[in-house]
Amino acid sequence: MTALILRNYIKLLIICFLAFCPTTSFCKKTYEEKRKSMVQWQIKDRGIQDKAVLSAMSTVPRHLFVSKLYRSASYSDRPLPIGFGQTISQPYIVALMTEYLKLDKDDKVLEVGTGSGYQAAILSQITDSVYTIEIIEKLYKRTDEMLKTSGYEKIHTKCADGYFGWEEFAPYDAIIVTCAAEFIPPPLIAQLKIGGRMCIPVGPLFSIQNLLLITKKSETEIETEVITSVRFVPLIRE
Amino acid sequence: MKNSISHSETKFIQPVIFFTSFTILCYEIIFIRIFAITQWQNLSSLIISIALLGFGVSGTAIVFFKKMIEKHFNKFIFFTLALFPISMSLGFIIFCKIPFNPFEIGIDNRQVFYLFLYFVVMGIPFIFGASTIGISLTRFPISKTYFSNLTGSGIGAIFVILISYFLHPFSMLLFITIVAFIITIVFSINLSKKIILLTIVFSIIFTSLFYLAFDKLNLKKISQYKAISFALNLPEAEIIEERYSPLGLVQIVQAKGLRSTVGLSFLSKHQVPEQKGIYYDGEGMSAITPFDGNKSSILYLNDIPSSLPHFLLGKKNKVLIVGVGGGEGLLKALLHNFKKIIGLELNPNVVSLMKNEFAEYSGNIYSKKQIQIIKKEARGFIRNSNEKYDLIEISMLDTYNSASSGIYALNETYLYTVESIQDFFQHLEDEGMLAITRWVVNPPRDNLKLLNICISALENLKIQDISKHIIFIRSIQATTLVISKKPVSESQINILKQFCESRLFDICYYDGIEENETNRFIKLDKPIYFLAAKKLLSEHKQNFIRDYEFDIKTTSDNRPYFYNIFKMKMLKYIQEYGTDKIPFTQWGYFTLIILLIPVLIISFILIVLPLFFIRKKRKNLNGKIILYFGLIGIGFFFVEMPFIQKLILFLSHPTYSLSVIISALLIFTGIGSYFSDKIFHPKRRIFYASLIIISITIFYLFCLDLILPILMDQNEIIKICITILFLMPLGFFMGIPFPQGLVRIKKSDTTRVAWAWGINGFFSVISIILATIVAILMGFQFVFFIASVCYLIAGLISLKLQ
Repeated sequence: MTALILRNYIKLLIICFLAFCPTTSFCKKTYEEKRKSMVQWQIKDRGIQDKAVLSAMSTVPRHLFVSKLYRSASYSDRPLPIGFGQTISQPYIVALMTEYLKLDKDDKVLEVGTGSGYQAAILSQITDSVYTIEIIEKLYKRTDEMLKTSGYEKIHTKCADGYFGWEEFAPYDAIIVTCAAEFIPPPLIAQLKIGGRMCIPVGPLFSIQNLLLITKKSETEIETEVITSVRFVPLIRE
Repeated sequence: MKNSISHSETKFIQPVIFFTSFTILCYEIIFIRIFAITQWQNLSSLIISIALLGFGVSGTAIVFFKKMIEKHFNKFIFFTLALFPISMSLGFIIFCKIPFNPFEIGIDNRQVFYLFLYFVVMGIPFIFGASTIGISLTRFPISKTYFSNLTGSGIGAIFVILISYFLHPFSMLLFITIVAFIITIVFSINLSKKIILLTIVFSIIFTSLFYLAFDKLNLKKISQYKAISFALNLPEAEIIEERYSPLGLVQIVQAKGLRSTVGLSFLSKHQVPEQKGIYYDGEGMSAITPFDGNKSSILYLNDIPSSLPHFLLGKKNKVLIVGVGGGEGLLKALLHNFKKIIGLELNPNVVSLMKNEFAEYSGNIYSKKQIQIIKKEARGFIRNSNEKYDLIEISMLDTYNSASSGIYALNETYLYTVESIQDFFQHLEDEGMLAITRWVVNPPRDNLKLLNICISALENLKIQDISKHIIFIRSIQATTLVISKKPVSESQINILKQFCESRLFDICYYDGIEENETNRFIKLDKPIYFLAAKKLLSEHKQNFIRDYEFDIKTTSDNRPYFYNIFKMKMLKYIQEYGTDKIPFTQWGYFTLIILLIPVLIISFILIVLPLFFIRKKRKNLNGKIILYFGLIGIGFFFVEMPFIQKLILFLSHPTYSLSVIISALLIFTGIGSYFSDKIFHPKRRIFYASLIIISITIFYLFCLDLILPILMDQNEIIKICITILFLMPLGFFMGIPFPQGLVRIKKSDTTRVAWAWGINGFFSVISIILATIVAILMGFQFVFFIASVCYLIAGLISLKLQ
């Protein structure tokens, strides 16, 4: 009986320790390890080969873009809720979409749907010119502040309706849309450079979506390719 | 029969049974509505099963507590009555807090547990409600008690529909809770004055707390996985109007950045304005576009795939738009100068909102001179219309989520059947066109099914060179299938090519198309739409349908399950690609098979197993009783379920069909039960009743399809009356086998009544789900046939039942 109580007490201690671990240096190491294995198992092993993408995914601390409540799950193979009905995408999807953009260091990229800011942070590791738009004002303010205080101040942010893109800095070498839409806003295509690429998930909000790659070959010639189906379900609720 | 309390010692028992049954039925239908609003449309049959499971379990419980019940009869009734509203409201609060998401079943294991939890909290109130009736059946005259039970249920089914015009579904639950408490207070008269007072005080406090909980616990919140929840996350989003009716909850959302137009071309030079969204039961949206009469503001409508027929048509006199909603179809027709525009909109709340609150915003499109809005269902309207149209447009009637996620997989639709396409085709002018636009779903399934249905319809109409009548295109989000009355001309093909080329839409099919003309802009692994169309139009059609991974067989009015794309072959596909590609909600009838298994196990454990345990001690319980009460359980629901499904077309909407058929059948069954000991010779009473049921069922089996179409044009009230007349004789005689069976077995042992009640409940639970599965696989006529066989065997057994 005493042994049982003792065993449960130790279990409780471990749980308490793990619950508070995000603030300890021990866990910083753990996050790095988690990130490393995330890149290996979830990204490399699934066929992502672009070195810049792999490096970015290995560098950006994903757990900083997730609320404290979900930090322990921040490197797991799934999307997570970030509030306002939005999610931070599954790491593999972030890597896959980024790889398809085939970015160079001096490319200019527009992201529609800043969300947690994680995708923008990944892009900023590859290119210097990242522009990102978020329509939900409260989410925009929170993410903007987080990006600025976390060393991503070079990312250009704006609170606006993504439908119109960000004409001021157009044209873009690449556009990434991180929220599913019923249609692809023509202004975004117009703001894409000739030869530019756009990656967008299309499909029902909380179910299976198709990931599309759009290539602008000329003003009147645009090619669209269905890359894969992706699951876009928030597995843990707010 | 020895009773410790005589009949006269229990006051108001028949009214109590009547109103308890009334509230049970209301609760059942309200929960189906709440489930549809908050979660999933698919599971109405399962919810009815859960209700009947409650009835079955109550039967078993009564057998177990028989002696205690006999001793404290009034107290038992009182407690079951009181626990019914308590469990109903507490269950609802728990229901609202369970984070269930049907799309995650198969992905997240917790969802199965959540679903199970759903059914537990939903099912418990039925156990208490049904116990009141079950206990009464062991004590009071069966035919009278059963009459009160069935008529109460029947009137409850009508009542719940009527109040749904005035109350939000969530408020309806509160109302029913109050009614259930009043019944408890009335019955408490049979107990002491102290209990009466306590019951009144408790009822008032509890109901008040439940009322407060709606706001405090945010119970009216719709699942975050519904489309409306997504819209409400947009800046400045708010629900600006809300209307309810039996046809569902209509909400209008206004938000910054809310826009919808399906499959807009990348190259469109025209801006889509911010719109307002109409959401039906939280799904949607159908956009209301701001329009001031200036057509330049809606030019973007020329750049969506559904506008193709507007460019192909030479003559533009008359267009019929099926399902007008926010009015995009009307705007398209106005843009192309149709002289007469007829729009069908079934939901009166949408019509009212568009004609009043949003008239100015939408440019009075519902009231324009050349536009006529008719509040009718499309099939009923077209079948009885003498007019012909240049264009019949059916565009995006399903919401994005429903089309691609399969939430309607088990729902009947009479719009996409071979007979329906034939009806529409026959109402086209000589150069007219039928255009159907639907969401793109990958891998392609329902769009190919629709193509197959259209081809079969044209085959039935003996149209020569069918391939010359078909045009099929796709954009990134939508496919448009155009069926032309005349063979498509060369000049129309040129217009088609130009239309698609300038908008970067892919042509999937026209007669004479080459493979290199397809799959150019939105590239799939292979030109599957083109290849499928080629096969479906060739002599290899049947082989292609057989070998295709999804069920793309044609649907008919006898098997109107367009959304069911499941076939066993799909399991291999799911195994290979996982539930990532085909979510659980799209597994069609297989979801029911999967859900049937736990229901079967639970029912067996809770109902049958305990009864068998008791059976060992009692020699006079035999297999005949199991078979008899099992068969009439199956027979009853194998008549009721296909009737509900089949009359959706006749009565225009599933809700009308559900409520009219349930109520009429229950009321007439109740009347039949009341008179059941007054007709025929007692020994052959059940046998004769069974023969009459079989005769009527067989008559309907062959004649319903001939009679109903003739009466389709009548107004809704007349159609409801006709339906009631149809059900009157059937219901009356269906009311005889169960109570008369109970009378026979009650003679020797009252426990057997509860035992039969439980057995009947068990078979009823599974027969509801089975009836839907059989209807999907074999059609309604086969379900009727099985029902007849069940009644025939039951009738024969009755001759030796005692």
